Amino acid sequence: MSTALLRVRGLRTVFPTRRGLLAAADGVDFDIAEGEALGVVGESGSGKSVTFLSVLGLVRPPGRIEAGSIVFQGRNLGDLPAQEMRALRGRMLALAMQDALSALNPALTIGTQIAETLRAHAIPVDPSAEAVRLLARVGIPDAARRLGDYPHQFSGGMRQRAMIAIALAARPKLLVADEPTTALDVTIRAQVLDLLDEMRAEQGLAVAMITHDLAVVAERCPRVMVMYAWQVVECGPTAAVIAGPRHPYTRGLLDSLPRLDDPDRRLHPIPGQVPDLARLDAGCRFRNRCDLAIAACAEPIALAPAGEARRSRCLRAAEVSP
Amino acid sequence: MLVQARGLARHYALPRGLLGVLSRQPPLLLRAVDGVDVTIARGTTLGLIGESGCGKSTLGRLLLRLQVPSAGIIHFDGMDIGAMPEAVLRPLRRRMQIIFQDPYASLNPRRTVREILALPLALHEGVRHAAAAPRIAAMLDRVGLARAHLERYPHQFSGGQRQRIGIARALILRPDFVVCDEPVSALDVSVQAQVLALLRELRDEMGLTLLFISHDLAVVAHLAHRIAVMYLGRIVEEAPRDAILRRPAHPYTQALLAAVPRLGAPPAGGVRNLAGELPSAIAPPPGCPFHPRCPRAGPRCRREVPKRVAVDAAGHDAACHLHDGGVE
Repeated sequence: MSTALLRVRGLRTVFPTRRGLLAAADGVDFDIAEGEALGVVGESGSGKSVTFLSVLGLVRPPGRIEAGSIVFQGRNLGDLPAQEMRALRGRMLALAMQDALSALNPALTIGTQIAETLRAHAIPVDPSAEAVRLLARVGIPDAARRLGDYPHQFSGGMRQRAMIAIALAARPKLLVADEPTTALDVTIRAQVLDLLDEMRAEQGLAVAMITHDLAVVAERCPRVMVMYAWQVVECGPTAAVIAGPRHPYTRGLLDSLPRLDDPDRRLHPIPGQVPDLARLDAGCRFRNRCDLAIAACAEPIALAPAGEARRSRCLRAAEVSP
Repeated sequence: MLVQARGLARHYALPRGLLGVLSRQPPLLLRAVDGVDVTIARGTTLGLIGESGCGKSTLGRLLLRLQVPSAGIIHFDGMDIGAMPEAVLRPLRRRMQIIFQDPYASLNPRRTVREILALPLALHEGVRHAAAAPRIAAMLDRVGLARAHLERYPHQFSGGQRQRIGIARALILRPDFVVCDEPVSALDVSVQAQVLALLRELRDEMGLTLLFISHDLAVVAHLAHRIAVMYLGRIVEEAPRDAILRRPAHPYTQALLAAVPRLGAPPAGGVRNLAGELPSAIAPPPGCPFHPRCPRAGPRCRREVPKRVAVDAAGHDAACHLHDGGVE
């Protein structure tokens, strides 16, 4: 990786609970380069959203970042005063969420919400002309006329695209897309994903695509990072990871997916359950469900190099794919 | 044929404004299901795919007579249930069940698992208390839950476990026909695989006939023998599963297949993406409902609603003028 736009090292974000301090991101390391799309895959509660909320400085108290560094364009975001972090967020770092209806303000027109973003970041453009351009850019037909519409007057797919238009209004360098297309139908989903691809190519936008859908990552993200129980367990070039996973959890995910090219393929669900996250020990968190587990797996395991541009948090990484 | 419907329709009258009432305008109709023919052979699974709002859930509920059709006929095991009074229908209900997408919303939060599973037995078979216990225990085992779970409430379970409870409730009466309405859509991938594997086993063991509704083509393909594709209240194509996957005949099915992300290499070339969105079912476009988005639409598509015609002799049919004399 040449110059990382975002570099995260040893991130640990904790939430105090009645059962003690829970680390919902625990020793997370990754980089994203300019114009890159990184797929972030994992099941609900695996820590993928918390990781990126930490990057965006949006962890709500009493949750807090306890350790680690988040370096964006050479600046350590942890050292930034709240005021500067606010200015950066929206301007350089943007978030698009799954649920557009709750992310948009129901009482303001779409046009007002885009103009507000432009004004808040003092972008030197004519707000309404730029709003029309942005809406047209995300594929809203008849954008000039729809500027005065309220979110409820938009269909689900249009709302999702309007939210992406708002997120992209200030031309950020990094878009965190948290399940941005999960609620959309396949044909609309493909349209939104195409839009993100174009933005990457045209503006060098980097995208962190948080999703549970490995197939979306396979098609859209050259690199993938897989999270399990609040840690990164594997990362590397997507095609290589899918062709030959180096962590048993990644293999389990792939074996669980019904595939269109082989619909009768037997599914092999991962046995067992995610461990009780309040009672984790220092060892591998997947070992209670893993057929490769050995005694040494009870010791702490690092995310170690596992082939070209790949890393795996598994002692037996080389044996995962036959 | 266990389930057979002809010309099935369900229209909803939308509320009119005061002005509309005063001026005696006819109410606007939402045509959720608009003239559908379905046949499901005993012991087979029909997969039903389509995007949100296309009417697939309404169709599932109509076939179970959970809703009364506005038009058309439904036969269940040779009996005409479309207009059957509820009292006559009641004994048949045991034989037709439904599994919902969101098991949390469909399980009574104030009842334990034991009570949830006991209720259908008491209602439909008059089996109560001690007599019901062995059936409940056996069903619970079969769906992979422990006896210790019997006295717990739905909120004490994970999403996957709740769906197992939903499956147990639907199957405890040993039904013939089960509508599965997006049963795994709310679940994580690894849990989804567990539930799919369970459904497939139970189907084969109990000889169930399924209508499996999902927007996820890969999930549908894993279970279905035949697949029907729905668009704006109509079935636009129906065929054996592999024919749909390999030789889709309707341009909408082709677009749907092209848009599905795949783990392997993306399909090469061709029209990748469909422009536009699902039109409103209140004011559907004239002619073929798909023509405003169809890359191959011609003048005839704007005038005339296509009929379902056979594409080949192997039970593959599509409602598209391309297969019925052309679009000119």
